[in-house]
Amino acid sequence: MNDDTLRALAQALLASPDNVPLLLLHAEQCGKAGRAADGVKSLRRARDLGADRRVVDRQLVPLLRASGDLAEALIRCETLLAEQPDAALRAELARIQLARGAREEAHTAWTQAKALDPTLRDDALDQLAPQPVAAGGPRGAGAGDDVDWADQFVWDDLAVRLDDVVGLDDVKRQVRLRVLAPMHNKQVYEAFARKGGGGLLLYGPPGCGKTFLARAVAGEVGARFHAVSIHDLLEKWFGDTEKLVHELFAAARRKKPAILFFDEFDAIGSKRQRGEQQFWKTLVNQLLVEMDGATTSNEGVLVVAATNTPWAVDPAFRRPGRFDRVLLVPPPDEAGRTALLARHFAKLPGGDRIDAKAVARRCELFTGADLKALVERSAERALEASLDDGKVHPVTMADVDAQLGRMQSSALEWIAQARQHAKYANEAGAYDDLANWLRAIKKW
Amino acid sequence: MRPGDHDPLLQASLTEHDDAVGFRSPWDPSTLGWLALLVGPFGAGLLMWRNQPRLGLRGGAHLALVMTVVGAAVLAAGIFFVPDVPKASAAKPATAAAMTAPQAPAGEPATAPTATNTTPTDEIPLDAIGLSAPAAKPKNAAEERRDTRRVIRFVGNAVALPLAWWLLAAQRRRFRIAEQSKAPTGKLLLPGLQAFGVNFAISFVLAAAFTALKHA
Amino acid sequence: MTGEREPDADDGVWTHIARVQELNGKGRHDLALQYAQKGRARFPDDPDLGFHMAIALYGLKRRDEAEAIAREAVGNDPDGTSGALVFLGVLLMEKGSHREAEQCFLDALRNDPEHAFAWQQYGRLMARVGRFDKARELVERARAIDPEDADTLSLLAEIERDDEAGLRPQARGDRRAESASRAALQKAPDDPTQLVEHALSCLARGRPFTARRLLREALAAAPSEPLEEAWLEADKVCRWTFQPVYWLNIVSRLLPGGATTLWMAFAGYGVLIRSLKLTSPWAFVPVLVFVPLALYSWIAEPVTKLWTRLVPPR
Repeated sequence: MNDDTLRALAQALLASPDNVPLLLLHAEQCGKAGRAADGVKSLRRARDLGADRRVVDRQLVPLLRASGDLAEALIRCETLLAEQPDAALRAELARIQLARGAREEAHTAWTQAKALDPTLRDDALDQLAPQPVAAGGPRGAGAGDDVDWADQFVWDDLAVRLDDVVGLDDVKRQVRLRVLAPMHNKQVYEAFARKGGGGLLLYGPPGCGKTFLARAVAGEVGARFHAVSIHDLLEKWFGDTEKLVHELFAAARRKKPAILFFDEFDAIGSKRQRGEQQFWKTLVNQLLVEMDGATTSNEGVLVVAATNTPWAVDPAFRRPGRFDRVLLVPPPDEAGRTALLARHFAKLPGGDRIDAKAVARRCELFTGADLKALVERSAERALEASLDDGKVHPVTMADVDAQLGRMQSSALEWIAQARQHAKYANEAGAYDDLANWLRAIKKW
Repeated sequence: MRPGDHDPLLQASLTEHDDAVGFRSPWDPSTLGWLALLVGPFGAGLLMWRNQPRLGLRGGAHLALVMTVVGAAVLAAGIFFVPDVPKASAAKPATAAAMTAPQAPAGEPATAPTATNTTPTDEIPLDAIGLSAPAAKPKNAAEERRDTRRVIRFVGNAVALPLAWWLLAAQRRRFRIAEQSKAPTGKLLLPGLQAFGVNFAISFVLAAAFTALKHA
Repeated sequence: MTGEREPDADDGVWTHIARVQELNGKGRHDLALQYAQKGRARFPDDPDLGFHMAIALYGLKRRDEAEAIAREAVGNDPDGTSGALVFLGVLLMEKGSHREAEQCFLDALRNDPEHAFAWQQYGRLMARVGRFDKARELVERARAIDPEDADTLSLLAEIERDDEAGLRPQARGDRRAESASRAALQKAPDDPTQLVEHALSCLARGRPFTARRLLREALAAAPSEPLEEAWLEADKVCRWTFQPVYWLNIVSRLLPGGATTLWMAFAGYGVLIRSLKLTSPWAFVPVLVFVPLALYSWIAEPVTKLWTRLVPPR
C-alpha cells in the first residue's frame, strides 16, 4: 500500500474518528509502511473506544517495539502470553528482548517459539544460537566459521539519521564537519592527499547516546553498521585473535561503506600493562594494525568506538590515522532535555499535558537514560492502575514530581572522575573540550 | 601438621581491644597530653578517665588516680616547703621620713625613724606640701613566695604533660585504630574548659587544706 | 603470587577465571562480575572463581557481598591454595575485625609460609593496630621472599613514618622511610602509589618541593580526589606563609621526644631566665623568636589558604 492510500485512510479517519475497524486498518498499514508511531496512536484510540483489548494489543506490541517503546511492549506482550501463549507472540517477545539487548532471554523465547512452530524464521533471532566454544578454543577453525562469526554483527535494519538524535547540536556539527564531510567530498579531500576512513572515539557519561549517535552516523552515510562488544570478543577467548580482528575488518571492507562500532572500548583497547595475558596484548596490537590499514586499505570503513573512560584507552589509539577524532558526548542541555522528555511523554497517556520544559529545568545533568528512566518510573503508577482495571489512566505531573524527588543524575560520579583527568592529566590537550564543558556547567 | 605451624611469628597476638568496635567519638590522646600542660594534673586525669569508654576501653580510674596523687604531691610540696612570710607592720602615713629612711634588707624589719636619723622637716606629711605619696612598694618576700607558688603550679602542670603522655600509650594505640577505621572523633574545647575549671577548684580546695594542715 | 592454580587446557573454569581476572585488572569490575556470575552458574564451588568474583564485587563497592562470596570460596578451599583466604583477611581488616583478619592471615601463612602477599598484608594489619615492631618483622619477611615487590618496600616506609619514636628522634624513622620509599620507586618508577609514598617521605625529610613535584606526577598518571588533596597539602607546605611552621615541625622531629621536648625546653628556659633574674636583652632572644613562631603556627593555615586563593597552585 502506498503513501496515497495511507493518506486516504487518514482522511477517512478525520471524517470518522471513532470508527474502530478503520483505526485498526490504519494501524496495520502504518506498521507496514514503517510509521509505527502513527499506528500506535490509532491503536490507543481504538482501545479507548472499547475495541477488544486482546486484538488491539496483538497489533500494538510490534508497533511499540518498532517505535522504541520497549517497556510497554514487554509488559503488554507478557500479559498476552499469560492469557494465550502462541508461537507468534513468543517470537515477538524474543524480538523485544533482542531490542532490549537481553540476548539470552531473546534466545530462550525464540527457542520456545520455534518449539511451538518450527516454520518460524527470523535472521537476527536465528543467529542468536550460541557458538560452541570448546576448551582450548576452536584452533584450526576454518575461515568460513570466522566469517560467519563476523557477519553476525551486521545490523541492517537501521534507519537512524542525525536529525533523529535529539539535542547534542554541537556534537552533530562536529560529526558533520569532521566525519561526514570527508566521506561525502572524497575528491576534495583526496586532492589534499587525505585518505578516507579513520576513526572516531566518542566518550562521555553512560547513557548519553553514544551508541545511538554512532548508528546515526551510519545512517547518514548510508553505511552498514557492524557493532562489536567485548562480550563478543571474549566468547572466542582461546580463538585465533589476530584472525578474529582481521575478519571483523575484512567483513566491514567487504560491505563498505561500513562503520565498525566498538562499544565499551576501554575494555577492548585498554592501556597495555605488564603481566597482562597474551590475548589482550594481541587484541590491542592487531586492532592498531588493522586501523592503520597497512596491508589493506580502510577506505570506506569508519571505525567508531564508544567509551565511558577515555583515559583508560591505550594512548597509541589516539595517534593520527587511528582515533584522531575524539568527541565528547555530554548529557543533554535544557533544550535537549525538553525535546527528549516531550518525545517520551508523548508516548504516554496524558503525556501531552505534562510541561516538559518545567521538568527539564529540574533535571540538570540528567543523561538520556536518566530521562527515560524518569518517564518510565513516572508512568508506573498509571500503568499499574491501567492493568488493574483495563482502563487507560493518564500520567500526571504529580507522578513526575514524585519521581524527581527521588532521582539524581547518574553522570555525577563520572563528572567527578572526569574533572580530575581534565585538570591534571591533560598535558597533550586531549581533554580540552571536556575542560571547557566542565567550566560551562560550573563543575570545574 | 602445616608447614608454618612452628613459625614463632605466626602466633595470634591481637585481643578484643584491637578490633575497631566500641568507639564513641573518642578524643585524641596526643591532644589530651598537651592539654595537661594547660589544665593541670587534676583536669588531665579527669579527661583521661572520660576518654576510656569513648575508646571502648574499660577502667581508667587508675589514670585519674595517678594524676591526682602526683598533682596533690606537687601542690603539697609547694605549700609545705615554701617558708611563710611574717605579717606586714601597720601602714604608716606617707611622710618624707618614711621615704628617706634607708630600706631594710629583705626579711628584716624596716628601720623605724628615730630622733637620730630624721630631721624635723622629715616629719612633714607630704600631702601638706602638695606632694602625693608614692605607691607603697610590695614586700619582696611575699612577692617571691607568690612567684615560687606560681612556678610550683607550673611545675605541676609541666610534670602532668610527660606523665599523661606515658599513661596514655594504650589510648594512643586504640585511637590509631579508630583513625584507621575512620571512626568520628570528638572535640576537646568544651571538655577542656570544664577540666580547667575542675583543676582550678580542686587545686584551690587542696591548697587551702594543705595550708590549714601546715598551720595546724 | 603463590597459591594460584596452573591453567589446565581442558578445564573450562579456567576460561572464566582468566576473563574475570583480566577484566578486574582493567578496572572493569562490572564486566568481570557478569563473567564471574556466568562461570559460577556452571562451576558454583570453584574457589578461584569465587575469589575473583569477590574482587569484582569489592571493586564495585559491594563489600558485604564480596565478604560473603569470599567466605564461601574459603569454605570450598580446604587446602587454602586460592587467594580467597588472604583476600578475606584484607576485607576483614578494612572492616575493622582485626582479630578475625589475623586468623585468616595466620591460616594462609601456616598453609604456605612462602606467601609474600600474605606476609605483607599481615604486616599492614599489625601496623594498623599500632604494633609496629611486629609489623616491621612481618614486612621484612615479605621482602625476603620477594625483594622486587615495590608495595612491600613502600609499606615499610609507611611503617617507619607512622611508628611513634617515643624518646628517639622521629627523624631516624623518617630517614629509613625515605630510603625504603626510594627503593620502591626505583622498582616501579611509573606506579603512582610509589610516587605518593616517596613524596610523603620527602615531605617528612624537609624536601617539600620534591614532594610537591612527585605528587603532581602521580596526579597526572592517576588523577583522583585523595591524590589531589595530598598535592594541595604539599603545595600549602611549599608556600612561604607556611614555611616557618613546616620547619619548626622538621626541627622538632630531630629532637628526642619531638615537639614535647621543644616546648618543655622553651618553658624551662623561661623559668631559668626568671629564676636567674637575667636582664640582658640577648637572654630574651630565644623567647622572642619562639613565642611569635608558636603563635603564628595557629594562624599559618588560614593565612596560607587565603594566599592559595590569590595565587593558585602550579
